[in-house]
Amino acid sequence: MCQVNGETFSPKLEPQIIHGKACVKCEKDSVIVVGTNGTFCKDCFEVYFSHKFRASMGRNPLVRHHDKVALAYSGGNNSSALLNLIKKGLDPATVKKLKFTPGLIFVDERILYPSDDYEKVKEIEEIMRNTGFPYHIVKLEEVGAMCIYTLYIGIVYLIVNHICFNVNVMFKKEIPFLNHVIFIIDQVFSTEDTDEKMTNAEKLEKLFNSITTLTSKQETLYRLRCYLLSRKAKELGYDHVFMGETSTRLAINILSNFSLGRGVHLPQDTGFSDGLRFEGVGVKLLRPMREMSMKEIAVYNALNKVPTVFLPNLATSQSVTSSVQNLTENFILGLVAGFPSTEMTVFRTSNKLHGKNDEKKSRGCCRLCFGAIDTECGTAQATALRHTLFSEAIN
Amino acid sequence: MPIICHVCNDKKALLKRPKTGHALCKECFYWAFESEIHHTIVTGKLFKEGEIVAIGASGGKDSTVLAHTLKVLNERYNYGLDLRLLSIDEGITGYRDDSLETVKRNQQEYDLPLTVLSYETLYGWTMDAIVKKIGKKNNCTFCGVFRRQALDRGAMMLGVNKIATGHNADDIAETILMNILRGDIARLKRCTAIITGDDPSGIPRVKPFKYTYEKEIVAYAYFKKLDYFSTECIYSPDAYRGHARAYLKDLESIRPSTIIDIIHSGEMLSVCQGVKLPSQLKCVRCGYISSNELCKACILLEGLNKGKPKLGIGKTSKVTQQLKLSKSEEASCSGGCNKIKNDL
Ligand SMILES: [Zn+2]
Ligand SMILES: [Zn+2]
Ligand SMILES: [Zn+2]
Ligand SMILES: [Zn+2]
Repeated sequence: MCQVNGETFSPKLEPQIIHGKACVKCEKDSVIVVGTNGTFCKDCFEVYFSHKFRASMGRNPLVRHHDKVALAYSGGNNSSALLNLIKKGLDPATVKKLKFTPGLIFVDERILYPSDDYEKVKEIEEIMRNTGFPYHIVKLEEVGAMCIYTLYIGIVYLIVNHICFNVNVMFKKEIPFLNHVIFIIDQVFSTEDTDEKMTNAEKLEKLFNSITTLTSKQETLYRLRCYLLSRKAKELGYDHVFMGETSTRLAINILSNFSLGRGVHLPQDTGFSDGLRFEGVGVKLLRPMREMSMKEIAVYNALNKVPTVFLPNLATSQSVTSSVQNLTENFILGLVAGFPSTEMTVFRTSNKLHGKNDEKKSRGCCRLCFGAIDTECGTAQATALRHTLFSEAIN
Repeated sequence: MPIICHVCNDKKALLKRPKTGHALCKECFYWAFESEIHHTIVTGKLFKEGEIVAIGASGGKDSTVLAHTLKVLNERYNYGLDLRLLSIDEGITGYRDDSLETVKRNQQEYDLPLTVLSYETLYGWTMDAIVKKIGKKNNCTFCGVFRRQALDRGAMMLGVNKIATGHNADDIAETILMNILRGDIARLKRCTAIITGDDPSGIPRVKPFKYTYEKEIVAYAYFKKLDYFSTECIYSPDAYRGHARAYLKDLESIRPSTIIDIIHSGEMLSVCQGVKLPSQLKCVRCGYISSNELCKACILLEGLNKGKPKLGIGKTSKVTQQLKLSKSEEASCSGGCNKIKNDL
């Protein structure tokens, strides 16, 4: 979902060139309008854009000199812009050369889509090869080899069709109704054990076929993709992963997270770093583009003639109301069109919030998404969770 | 073949609960609905024995069901509460007249004392007069701000310990979304609280319906044949809130649990240390709790009375400056140099 969904909207975005207005920096004529930040000439826009990227890295000094960084490249607008920025930043002629060593990881998700986009993946590989950086193509189904996590998560989705919050509700054993669910999970586990011969691709297919709603499919794919990137990058000797998520994408994710009951994961899912989520399993996912908007990215790509490749995703040719994420994307993009400041407002709101039991600490993490646990309901007060448990218990 | 009730396994199921999706018979639905609210009241420690509680009664479904349920639960579980109805007459022709009639019928049926307070008495303006002045675009700002204060003022007059409002889970989820979209951290923090009123002099407000779905309230009122007034306020909400409401309705149709999930999300977050929240002051004019020198209601009133009705609809800080400015202008006109110094 991260970059994937955003792609659908990118072709419509063309940089707006307006004449007769002056650049806010140098007052030259013929300028580009970017969101709420005023108008720029081409040169000043370049400076502004790369400054945003460097400033974001400077404020969050997690990448040290000579670190190896894997860019999660998808061919889409966001990661293509990021790749271009990194290429420029490493150019010997650049004043302040970037100090890390990059590589590229492309997650091949074609197993999920009926159409065979062999040519497009070839195109993506070509782009990656031309950078001269080391690159890796990782098939999504590889996640199946990593743990039974995939099948496990799928079965839970199948039964409850809910995300984290509700899934964990289901594990409270004191409620009679829930023992039933645990029983079903155990059963499936045992069948799976005898089914050792299943290939990773079959496992993944079984998983996605078992998920009944597009909301859960998209959520699962997002979680799997993050997990795979983090873990694979570690295996390949990288220190961090760069994600291409923009402020627009994050505003959508913030609202989706809220609607899916995952508020507690906002800092991990939308912050500069994903914190301790994959500690011990993989490396940190970082979001150096989180202060750029979708529109700025589109302008940058158009000005620099950055090649992009569009691959279909789960949201492709689905209706707006087919999932929580699609609806939210449509909602945010619609609002941004009428009220351009919305996206930064949502983004900043989220920056000021943290989860009540944020990092793992002693509590451990969710076995399904590796996120912070938000299902400890004290008996001292009324909470949505307690209420839900009560509702389930009396019915 | 008729579907049998999921709970009692005996009677014919009459409805599918919006919240859980289970098919229930009428009696089991009443029992589940009321038990959940009782559970919320007990776990949230909403009331203490012997308290006087004003129920904000608008004649609409939420407050009618609230009055009914609180009366039933108060008797069933011996809460020992003294329940009162408190109505606000905004002065909206065709809306309030009829809904006040409903409240009066409810008063007789539930045998609870009723007090009606009008905007005209409280502020010198009816909503109709305000709309005439400012048009239909921003009237919900006025209505909301004035109503909130009106309940408090009325509650103070009645000498009650708490105000119970009919805010349901849908309302709270919508408010959470609105506050994220507006970036209002302070309100975001406050709107998930089940009891509000941090100031000791303010009367705490409680929300027994915090986790109750609007659809279930409607179903309860329908099956119980409760007498309520069902017309939406004729002055419809502003565009932005309208978007948020439509978004929430769509979310609910995709995933019914979204409403409670949003509240859960809100409850699991807190404001980072170091984020400045507006401090709680008291309005210099009326004494109401406010984040500014002047409370929103007083700013809006000032605008109305001065013939600048748009005042107070935008950013509050700007307005305060503007007000200060106009005050000092006045002062200088009347030649009071000392007054200018005081204002600055
Ligand atoms: Zn310039
Ligand atoms: Zn989880
Ligand atoms: Zn029954
Ligand atoms: Zn005041």
